[in-house]
Formats: sequence, structure tokens, C-alpha cells
Amino acid sequence: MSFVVAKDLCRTFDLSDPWIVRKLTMRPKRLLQAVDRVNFSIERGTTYALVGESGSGKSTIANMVVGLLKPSAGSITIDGQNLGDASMSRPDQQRLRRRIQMVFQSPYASLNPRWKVGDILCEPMRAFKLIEGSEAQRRRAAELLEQVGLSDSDASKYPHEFSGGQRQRISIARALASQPEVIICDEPTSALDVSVQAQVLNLLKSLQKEFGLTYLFITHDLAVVSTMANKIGVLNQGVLVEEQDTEGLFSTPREDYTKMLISSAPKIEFGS
Amino acid sequence: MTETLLELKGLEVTFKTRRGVLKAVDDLSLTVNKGEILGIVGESGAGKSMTGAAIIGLIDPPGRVSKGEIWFEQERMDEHPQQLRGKQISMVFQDPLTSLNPLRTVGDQLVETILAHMYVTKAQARQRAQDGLAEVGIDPDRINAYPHAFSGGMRQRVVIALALATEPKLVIADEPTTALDVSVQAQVLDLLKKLCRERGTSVILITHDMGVMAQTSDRIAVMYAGRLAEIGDTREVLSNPQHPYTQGLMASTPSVDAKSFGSELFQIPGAMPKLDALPPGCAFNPRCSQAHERCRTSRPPMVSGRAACWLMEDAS
Amino acid sequence: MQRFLQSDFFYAFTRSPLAMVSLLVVVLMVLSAVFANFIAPTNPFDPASLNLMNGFTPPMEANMFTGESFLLGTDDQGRDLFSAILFGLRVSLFVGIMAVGLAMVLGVLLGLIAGYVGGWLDTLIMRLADIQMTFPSILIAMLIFGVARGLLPPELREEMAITVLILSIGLSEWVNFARTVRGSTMVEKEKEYVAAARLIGLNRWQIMLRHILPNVLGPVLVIATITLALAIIAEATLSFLGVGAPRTEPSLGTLIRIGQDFLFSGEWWILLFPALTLLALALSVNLFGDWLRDTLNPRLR
Repeated sequence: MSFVVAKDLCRTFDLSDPWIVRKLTMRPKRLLQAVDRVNFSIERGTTYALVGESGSGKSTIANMVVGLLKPSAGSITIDGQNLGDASMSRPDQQRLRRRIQMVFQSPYASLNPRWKVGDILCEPMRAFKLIEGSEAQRRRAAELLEQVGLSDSDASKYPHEFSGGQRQRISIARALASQPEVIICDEPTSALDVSVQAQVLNLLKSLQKEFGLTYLFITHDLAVVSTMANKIGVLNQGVLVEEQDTEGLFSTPREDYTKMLISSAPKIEFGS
Repeated sequence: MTETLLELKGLEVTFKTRRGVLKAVDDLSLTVNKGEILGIVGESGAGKSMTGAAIIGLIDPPGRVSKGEIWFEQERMDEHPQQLRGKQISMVFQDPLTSLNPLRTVGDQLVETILAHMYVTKAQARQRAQDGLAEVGIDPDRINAYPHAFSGGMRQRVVIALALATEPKLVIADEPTTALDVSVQAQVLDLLKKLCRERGTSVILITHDMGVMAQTSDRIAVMYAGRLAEIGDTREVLSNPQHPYTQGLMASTPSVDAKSFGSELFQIPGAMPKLDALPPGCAFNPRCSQAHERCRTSRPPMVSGRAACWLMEDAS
Repeated sequence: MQRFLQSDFFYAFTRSPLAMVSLLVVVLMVLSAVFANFIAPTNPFDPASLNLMNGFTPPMEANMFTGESFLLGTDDQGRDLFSAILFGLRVSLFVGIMAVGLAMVLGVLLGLIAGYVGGWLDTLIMRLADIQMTFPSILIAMLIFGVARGLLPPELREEMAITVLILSIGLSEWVNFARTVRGSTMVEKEKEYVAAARLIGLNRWQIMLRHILPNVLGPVLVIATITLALAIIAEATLSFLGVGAPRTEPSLGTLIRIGQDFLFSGEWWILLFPALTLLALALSVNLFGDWLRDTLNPRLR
């Protein structure tokens, strides 16, 4: 069985007015089907990318896979364990949570501006009781910083002292602090400049090799996907319209929507 | 024979802060020809938006144009007030939501802009507004709709109609498609390009996206840390980049195909320096693999009107 | 400390004479209130040291019976006004600061809960705030004061007067804190660092207190300063109306009330000096608060 499996995943959002307003105006409930029966599975140690435009439901799926949102229907299993299992004890929940972490889109909002980088990195170790003792935690934080290409002296700085790319590295280090097996990357480079984007993508790749990480990559950028993913799912308005391995998707896209996405992506070529 | 519409001579935009005076745009000289699309590309903080704002006169204190000249149709324009420039130059911003007034219909906003800049009657203005909407592919009957009734791409079309309504000679488009989805982005860019070609309007397209640049512009200016790094015909710059920064940018942009999978992307080490911590010499030298002694001490001049790099001078 | 001295905030402070002067006045007043015992020439509440013959001595003039002279004159009982003002300042500041502290803790907690948890709890807290906003806060304070005195046995009333005063002002000023904190909490909770904290399994309280609270405290500081001015005035008003600090432990408001009895008989100084002190204190706290608000508000920068 695959490492991460999403089965018939659905999510509706209730966009209706408050009950009293609805009754007074006689309007029905307004429901938005953000994700509609999506199925995919990710093998251990590979990267699966969900590609879609705004409103495609890709971020909703990311939030469900990490457990920030509950699916309306369907299930997500990680290494055979159902994420929505209500009978799970709290220690078991924590054990499962530790294995799934996330790297967020915004390098500015994803780090608490009042916390020092060292404290940001030590928090997951404490929450999951991975490393006891503040001295050992400091050492581990320094090690993490070096793994993502920063220096151990950066631990005593605040997030605002770093550039966007460096903050994204810190965000990656925080995810690694939990020693996860799956990392969900939600548009991790879309706020970064091209030259920095390449650094972050390369870092993610080399970490995957080193730790055998499994990635779920959420993005709107086909170019990023082509360098990162083994397998790609294309989302359109909550529905998974096509799924292929990377090579197949770019050489023989089956759906018109995919073809349109590929053809409209800006390319550097000289015959326009 | 190409005619020059706009010329910047040694433009400098500075910001006074308590940590000293920062140069957001540093000694920038370039020209925009009539009817051409000039792309300005660079990372955030490279000074590209600041250049656009300086041309149209929208720099707010503590920033100011501290040096240099802006020539528009053989006339000094940097002393003209902003209103006067608005007749000749219009602007398209990144976020169509904030550039349209949400409380007024798109028709009202179009008519108002036309009346402010042209000698026409109200009825004529309204007719022009409808024509303008039709041109950007929006049903002219929707002239009485409010901005929120349009999708993001449609809104940006309205903004383009608004920008072109006064028949400006130059349109400055600052990241016009960054907030849009890829599929919509291509349509909006094509539209902008087509309309400006038809009217012979020049465009300065400001973007961080090399792909957008390649597909839209006639010439490219690459900016780095407030300075011009390289400028030239799109085809030449992209096929044969001279400045190591342009080369790095090109190489680190992933391409849309499956070829690059598995291999490492090329990366430029480090990040663009902050404006208050620029290195001496060439601003790019700490990140440049080919930097030598001279690059670290003295700032390279523009060599044969193409790239500001000592390597290029050494070669010639 | 090094960081603070180099911050933009400190730089703006050194560039604003208004802020420096108002802070200086506040600091001087706080210091003289704290060290009133050492600064005051007499202890105005020690009946043994009072000489009724010294009553109604005008400022800087020798008393016609005893020949003693006082910097700011004396009141009807021969109490040195300068000393009385120092001790009154102490009561006023103590009540003000404690009341603001109470309002702050209450308001910040309720605002955090309303903003973060949301739902019916949010509705309940904010409707309560709305209702309270429809009454002038001085009325609320009087109501709480009256109820508390009614509940207390008579022998405790004098003793507990100050505590009751603090409670009544504190409970009437929490609304602004709650509203502001709720607003900023709702912004902060959508940010990704909160999602990251949820991912490692922190509970609501840990997220609210460790992650969100430090990020919403900026505006709270501003409101606290402005509320301090309000609380000092509220205390003076209550004491002036005779429902505040007792005569045995007079605050500035009590002194003003005493003074106004003698205004029309020509002993103007008994009213004027406590009133001027109150004015200077409230004004400088307020000015400093306004400056803080303008400086810390990113939209105005």
C-alpha cells in the first residue's frame, strides 16, 4: 500500500449568511464544493504535485492532509493509519502528527515575528518530546540550521533579520525539527525571486534524498512542478482531472485543461 | 527609423532614512522607442517599480528623484507636475482590485478619466468608454456594472481599457499579471500587446517573470540593486546574455517540460544585497562566479550600450 | 537594551520634544508619588503634626499666628497642601494603574478568547461589550461602586474604599482592550505561524498565550496609556462626587472636592493646586499615549 492515500476526499464550505439572516431573507444555504471526490496516492520517498489555478481546491487538500481541516467525506491514510480516526488517543495523535509537517507559502507570515529562530526550531522538539534538555535542543537547532544552509549563530536572531529565501529555509528547518516523513509544501517558492527559488527547490530535493522524505507539492507553477515531481495531479475546480507521471504529462497531456495550462505557461523562447 | 519617445538620463531615486540615503534607482539611463514594448525585469527591490513611479511622477516622500533627467518627446518632463504627465502616460498596476474604485461603476470611472483628459462631450465620452470595453473583449452593455461583478482577469481588462482610454503615448504596466492565473495571464498579455501595437503606443512592462518578458517585450532591461545590469533586444539578451546576473537568472528559471526533472537547478548563491549594504564595485560581485579584483573595487560602466560588466570590457 | 536604543521607536522618541516632555512629566510625578514620604515636608495625615492655627495660610506667605510659611499654602485644617498633593498623587496613580491593569488583563483575555475561539463565545463577549459601551463608563463605575458598598459591612467600607474604586474603574474600562485584541487576534490567527503551531499539536491556550498574545500587545500598550489618563480622571470624578477615596486617604479628586468649598471665600489655592496637578498628569499621560499610537501605527508611517 502507498504511503499516503487520499480516498474519495470531499470538502464543502458553508458560505451561507447567519441563520437568522437566512430565515429573514428566505435564501437557501450556500455551499461551496471546494474538493470533490479526489483520489491520489503517494509512494514513500517520492514527490507528488497537485497543480491548479486559484480556486482549484489545492490548498484545501493540503490543509486536510496535514489535519488542519477535516474532510467532509472520504479519508486520508498515512502509512496505514487513518488521519480522521476519532478513537485515536492523544499520544497516538501526537505520534501521527509528528510524521506530517508542512512548509508554507508566505515566508513572512509563517514565522512568529516575536520569537527567536532558535526558539521556533526548538518548539516542535519540545511538543513531540523528541529531545530533552535545552542544551541538546540548542545543539539540534544549530544542526538543523546548517542542514538548510544557514549558520548556527542565526539561532539568536529574529525572523525579520532574514531575507525571504532565508526565512523559507528556516520554515523548512522547523518542519525538519519534528523528524517528519511527509512534508506538504504549499507553494513554498511562489513568493520568492527566481534566483532564490532555485536555491530553495534544490534544498528541498537534496533533503529528500538525504532523509527519504515524501513530498506533497502544491503549486500553480508548472515549471516548478516539472523539476520537482515524480507524479502530477491536475486539479480544476475541486476535481482531479488528470494524473500522470511527470514525463507523460508534459509529453502527452490527455485533458484539454492540462493542454491549456501547459501552453499558456510563459516560456523563455525566442520566436514570439 | 525608430524614434525615441522617452529617455532617462542618469536617473537617480533616493530615499532618506535615518541610516543614510538609500539609492533605490542608481544612475539609470535608457530609452523607449515609439511603439515598442520595453521590459524591465529584476528581483523584488531591484528598483524596477521605482523607475516606473519616477517616470510618471508618483514617488512619495521620503523618496525623491534626486538626480538625472527624464525626456519625453524631446522635452524635459521631470519638472512637470504629475497631472500633466498623466495625459501622456498611464499606468496599469498589479492588483486590479485596488486600482478600481469599488463603489463606482466601471463606466463612470472610464467616462471620468476620458473627460478629465480629452475635449469631448459626455455622450462622446460614454461612447468612447463603450468602444474601449469592446476592444478589451468586454460586452459594452456591462458598462454599468461594478468592479466586483468582474473576475480578476476581466477586471484587469477593465484597467487596461481605463489606461488606454485617454490615448496615452506610453503605458507603464507594473506586474500587470502577477495576481492572475496562468491561463488568464496569457490572454491579458496578448491583449495588451495587440492594443498597443495597433495604436503605436509604447509600453514599459515591469515584471519579475523572465517567461512573461520573453513572450511580450521587444527589448529587455535587467535591473539589479537599483542599477541597470543589461539592456538589449529580447532575442539577443535571452539567447546570448552578457551579464553574469542575466545568465544566472536564465539558468535558474525552470522550464515547462519534463527534461529538467531529477537534475539540480542552476542556482545563484546568496541573495540581492540590501540597498544599505551594497558592496563596493559591481553590486553583483559577491554572487558572481567570474568576479575578479576589478569587480570588487570599481563599478563597471555600461559597455557598448549593452551590459554593465567588466568581463565584457575585457573581452572587447 | 542595545536593540532598544537602536530601534526606530527610540529614534522617533528622541526626535519628538512633545513625547520627551510628556514622558518626563509623567516620570517625575510617578517618582514624587512613590517617594512622597521623603519629599513631603510634613505628613499631612498625622493629626499630631497638624496645627489648626496654620489653617488657610496662603502660598508662600507667613501665617499670621504661627509665622510658618508653606510652598503651596494650607487647607482649612492647617495641612500643608504640597504634602497633601504628593500623597494625593500617590493615591490617584495607584488607583489608576491598578484599575488599568485590571481592565487590561480582563480585556486582553476576553478579547483573545473572543477572537480565537469565535462562535457563540465571541458573540456573548462582544454583545456584553456593546451593552457596556452604551453606558458612560463613569456611570458603570458608580453602579459597581454602589453595589459593592451595599454588599460590604459598614465597618469595612472605609478600608475597602480604594479596592472598590479600583474594581469599579477597572471593570468599566475593559471594553476597548477586548475589542482591539479581538480584532488583531482574528488577523493573527489566520497567519501561517499559527497553523504551524497547530500542526505540532499545541492546544488553544498555548497558541493564544505563547504565539498570538505577544503579537497583539503593541496596540494594547497604547490603549493602556490612554486608558490610564481616563482612569485617573474617572477616579478624580468619583472622588469629587464623594463616592471615591475617603477623606482619610484623599486622592487628587478628594482634594479638589475639599478645595471647591473654599473657592468662593477667597482661598483659591486649596482648589487650584490639586486641580493643576491633575491636569498636568492627565494631559501628559494622554499626550504620551497619543504619540505612542501615532508612532506604533504602521498605517501612519
